[in-house]
Amino acid sequence: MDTPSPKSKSWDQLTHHARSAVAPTDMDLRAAIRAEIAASPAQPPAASLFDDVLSLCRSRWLRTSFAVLTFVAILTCRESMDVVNELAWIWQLQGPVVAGI
Amino acid sequence: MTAPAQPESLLDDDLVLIQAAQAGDLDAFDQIITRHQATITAMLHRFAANRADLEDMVQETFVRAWRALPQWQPDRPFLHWLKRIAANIGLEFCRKHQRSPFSRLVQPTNESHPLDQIASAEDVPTAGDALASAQFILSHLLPDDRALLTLLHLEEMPLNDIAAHFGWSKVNAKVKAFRARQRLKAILTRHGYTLT
Repeated sequence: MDTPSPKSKSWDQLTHHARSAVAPTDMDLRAAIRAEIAASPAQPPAASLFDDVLSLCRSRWLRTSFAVLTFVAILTCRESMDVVNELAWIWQLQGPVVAGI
Repeated sequence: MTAPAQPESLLDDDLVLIQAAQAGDLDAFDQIITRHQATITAMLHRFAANRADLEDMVQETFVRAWRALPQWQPDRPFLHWLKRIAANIGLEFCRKHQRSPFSRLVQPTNESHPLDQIASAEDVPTAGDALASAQFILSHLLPDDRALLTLLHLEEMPLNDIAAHFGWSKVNAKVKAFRARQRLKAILTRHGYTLT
């Protein structure tokens, strides 16, 4: 519920008064800025998406992940080779069946 | 208080210094800082009167400017570009120092409310106190509203410039400003302020 105070206060007057507040003029941050620039040299921006992908492919964690995935894929294929053989056999048959034998 | 327009010769000197800084000359960048620090400090002072916060924001503005300097094009006014970085630092400051959402839910009672301690413009002894009061009231708004109204009411920045700095369309900025003023008005009227 609105409970305005008895004394009316103007936001415009307050901001008008606030605008005349003077910012400190004795700050010299050049040394601090230099130190921060020197402490963390900026990363050169990537030239293109291709560069991003290339730099990603160079990362060790991604290579390791690919190697692990490939190994798991080979293992899975070996274990399910019978199923693959069967599928291949059915596929072989499909030709003559369709041909009306 | 907005910064005065720069004379032509100063702009030419700026270009020479910026090109040197783009080539990695830190001494040239020092001169750029010397030249523009007062303007950027005055602008960021609207967001935080506290000296430590102000120093952090000014420092961060120039560090980011140094990093982004290779992307600056001579066809863009340098000070405007620098102010854009500073405005975004101000917005980040508002987001980082956001009040708990519960502070906006506090309803005034007959006894007291946090905003009651804010005196009227005639009662505050100094301009610094008036700025602190205005910042305190604005801190009860959402960060985007706070940053927008800080630039609009305290820095007296044109809405088109604010839109450009924050990457908003002009229409979007107008809508945001209208809504922010409505929310501010709701807070102010509860506490006896008038917003024209």
